[in-house]
Amino acid sequence: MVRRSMLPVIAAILLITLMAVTASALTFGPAGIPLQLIDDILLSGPTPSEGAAYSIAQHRIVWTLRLPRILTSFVAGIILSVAGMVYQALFRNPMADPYVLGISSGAAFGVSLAAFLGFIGGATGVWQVPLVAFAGAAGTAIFIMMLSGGVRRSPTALLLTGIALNFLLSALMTLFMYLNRAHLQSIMQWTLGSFGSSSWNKLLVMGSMGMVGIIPIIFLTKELDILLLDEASARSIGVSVKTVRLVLLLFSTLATAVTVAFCGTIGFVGLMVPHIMRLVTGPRHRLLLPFSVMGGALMMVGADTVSRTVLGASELPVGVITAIAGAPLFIILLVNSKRSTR
Amino acid sequence: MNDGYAMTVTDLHWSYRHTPLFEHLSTRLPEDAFISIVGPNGSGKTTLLRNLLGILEPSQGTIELFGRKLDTYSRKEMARKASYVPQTSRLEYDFSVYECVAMGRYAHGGRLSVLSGEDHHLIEDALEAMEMSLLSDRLATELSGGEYQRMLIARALAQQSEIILLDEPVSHLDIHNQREILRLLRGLVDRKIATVVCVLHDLNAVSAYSDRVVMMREGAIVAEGTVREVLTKARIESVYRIEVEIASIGDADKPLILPCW
Repeated sequence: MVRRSMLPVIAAILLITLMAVTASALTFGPAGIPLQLIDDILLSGPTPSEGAAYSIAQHRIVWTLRLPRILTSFVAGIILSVAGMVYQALFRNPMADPYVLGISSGAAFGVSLAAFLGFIGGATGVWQVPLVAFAGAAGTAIFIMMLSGGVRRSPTALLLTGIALNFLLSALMTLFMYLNRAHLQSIMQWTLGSFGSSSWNKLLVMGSMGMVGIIPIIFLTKELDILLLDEASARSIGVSVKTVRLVLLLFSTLATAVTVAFCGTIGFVGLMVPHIMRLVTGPRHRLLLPFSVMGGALMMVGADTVSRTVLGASELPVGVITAIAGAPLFIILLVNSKRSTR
Repeated sequence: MNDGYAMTVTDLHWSYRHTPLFEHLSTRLPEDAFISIVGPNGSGKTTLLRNLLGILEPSQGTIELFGRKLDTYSRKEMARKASYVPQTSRLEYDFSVYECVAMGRYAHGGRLSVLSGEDHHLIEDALEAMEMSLLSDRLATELSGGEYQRMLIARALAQQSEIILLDEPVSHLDIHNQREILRLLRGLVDRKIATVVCVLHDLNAVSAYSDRVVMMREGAIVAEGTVREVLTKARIESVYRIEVEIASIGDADKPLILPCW
């Protein structure tokens, strides 16, 4: 933990870095557009102005490809890291997050199943997909709560349940792909995670539904702290544990599902960001929440920029980058937890 | 009206998976007293405590807290009246002692409110009462057993509750720390800060500090009253199935119980 007086300084550094990374992300891409032109393009607004230094194609690349994509990764980073933070408190398990517990896969499964059965297809509106994803995620969340005996059993039992569910759901999604090769491409996209199909329209839906999921959490930071105690203590301090836990689970699962619906399953962000930020702020959620918001956006914009530039012209799924960075941390946590608890 | 009783339990039934643990359990816990609950392992002491706190729900019967039925209290109202010090609950997160004690103010605050000046004052008072002021910036994970227990009691004090229920607060402590904790709890009762209800195993500690003793066996209360009324040779021998000698050195109201090993 960092000294309390240093926190504003770190917050400022984080914020400046975030703005710098987000702005410079606009300059990266197969079409090299210099920073000077980017400024002009942004200032000219969503429609290109006459006689400008940039071409119409450059304007289009920035306004309809890069900007919505970068903002989508920004919002997705916020949602996934906040959801991870909530899950860790909810399950009193430092390794819990929607991805590890199979909730993200549940959302992707919901979408694949609906696509397979023909409920959703190319012509359906942007609102249907997140709702189907939420149904899949919520179903998985309820299932995992029941199977693992909620939070009462050992932390390892919970993680193993999640990992088993992940296996099962991935297998089923692969099955759908083989049974119906027409949907192969779209199902692949959900299982690997990508910001490649971002648009302003989708960003609007994802942003608004995601915020519906995230905003209630701002009002529950005290409860999140107290949930880290044992259940009897939390109740005797005055927290309605069951209600609070249900509300938190519902809203963070909604936010996660919406993200999966548009960007697919992107792992380990929800695990990594709250962990790194907890080293800075300590466990209090009133501080951890804003730091996780900044850290999540920073990590995701960074990871997406790497994913679309590192291989030159072709794109790497962003989930590959986050897994390479995050999976080692998960293993470190697992090894440490075996040493210290029970 | 509560007629000088902090809690009144009437005809309490409680079952775990259809196996009854208590049936027809009734008792009254007087205000401003140090009440000890004793009995062999598995006699239902912790379960009774959790019923008294509304953490577990009785299948039948009523519990009144200061003259009002427990199920009419909201969680927060309940927390302002009764607080709990659980048996073992080592925290795995790096909260400071001060932050842990501040959690006791939860039931007094609004949704987004930060701690007020009064809150800080009460937290500091609670830390001081438990002789923890110098440790307030330490991490709870780094405390010794005795310090940790004192921190939990300070958190209960910060709740400003009128009754504190403790589950074996001294069981895993050395005799110095046992005496420290019990002396501090006794002080709370003597200064009329709170009624203390405490599950204890050491009958000599019970004898030295209690105003009233509730003795349980197999989910039933077998005796209750003053130390001298309850802790008799015959009763201890039958409840614990062990031979004892009762001696008294000094205060005749605080007999010494000597098990014959």
